[in-house]
Amino acid sequence: MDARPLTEPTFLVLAALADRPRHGYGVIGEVEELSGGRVTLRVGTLYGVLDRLVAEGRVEPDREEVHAGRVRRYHRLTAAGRQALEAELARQESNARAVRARLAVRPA
Amino acid sequence: MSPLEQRYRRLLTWLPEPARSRWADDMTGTWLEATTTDDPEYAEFGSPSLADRLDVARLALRLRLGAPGASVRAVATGRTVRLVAVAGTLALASMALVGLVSRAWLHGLLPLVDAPELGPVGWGPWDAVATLVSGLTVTLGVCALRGLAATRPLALVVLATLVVEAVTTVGGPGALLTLLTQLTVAVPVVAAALAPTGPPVHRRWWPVWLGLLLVAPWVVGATLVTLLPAGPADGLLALGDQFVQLGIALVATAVVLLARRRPERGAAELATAVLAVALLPALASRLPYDTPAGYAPTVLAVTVGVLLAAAATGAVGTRALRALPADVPA
Repeated sequence: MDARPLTEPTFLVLAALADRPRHGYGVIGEVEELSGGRVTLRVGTLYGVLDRLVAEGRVEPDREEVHAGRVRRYHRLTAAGRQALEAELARQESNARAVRARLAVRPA
Repeated sequence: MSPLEQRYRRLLTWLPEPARSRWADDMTGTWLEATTTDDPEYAEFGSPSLADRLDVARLALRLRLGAPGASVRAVATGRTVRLVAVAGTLALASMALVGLVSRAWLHGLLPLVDAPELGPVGWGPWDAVATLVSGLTVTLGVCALRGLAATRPLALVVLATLVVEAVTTVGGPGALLTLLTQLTVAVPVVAAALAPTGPPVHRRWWPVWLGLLLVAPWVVGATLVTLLPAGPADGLLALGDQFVQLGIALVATAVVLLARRRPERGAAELATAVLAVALLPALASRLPYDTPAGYAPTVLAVTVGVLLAAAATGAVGTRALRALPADVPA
């Protein structure tokens, strides 16, 4: 599996799918909420990320539902996707801890 | 189907297969939900925004250059662009390095080597800019070779300097010749800006690449100076021109590629053809100079060789690429 850090859109899409399967519009809304309104994914960006994550086996189709006469396709995280997300979280937490420790030392 | 949906679906025709079949319905649905939830009338008169169009164009480019999930043919196309980027930027790095060392020599900055007796050499702002651009070009070559993420932004910076140089050149003496050379230089830099990120070139090949592209010009130059100290023949003098050297290297590469029976043809041949075509403007810019009598025929002979190499590798590469499935994921 790729050990490189995840890009922010990839990280946020995986995070948006962490608790339950979501459809495209749901992922966009969840990413906006997770980022506190800072990141609004464009549709092309979202499906570029989803396409890559599906090809890498980190996300998979879950189910289809009809809403207002239109089919919504839901996607969910795979075990590999969850593992990638946890690895990224661990990396970010480790960095944050290290930087916090430096900030705690007040310059003389 | 609403007019807005039709417009979104038309926009999605930019995407290559098989991605279009996979995602067109989902993407259209998501757009419609995002744009018409608060404003149902938008379905009648709305159209994709410029940001949406740019977003889809970027996705289409990525998929056509072999992003994960792209077709077998797109992956081969991406490999071609990457080869053009790596080989081309390394060749530019080689030229930039020669420029840097020559400038240092002129200013007497090289240890153990005396500066040429040309009198005092000035150091203007353009020298500083040229030195900076040469440094960036060398860095770009190394980044492309190592597959670093910095390759793309660095390529954009070098491209911007080329555009600035082109704009400031227009109207001046020798502008056409400078622009022809810049056209050649721009091709690998654009390829580096577009190329998909990938693993670095295998380490065991580094000495070969670096040897050929960074050391070869010095070896050729030193050989010419050592063996022909009393003024080499005019035709041989042209061999000291790095664009001529690059032409000879491309012809040799084409011969090797076409002679070898490899199961996987396509990317290497096409990359050679692209670089050969890209080299033609720079070679053409060498012809009108007031050069010694034998200089132009040598450049012309190399140009013909490069043309033939481009035609042969282009034909083989295009045929091989077209034989790959365009709708099967890699």
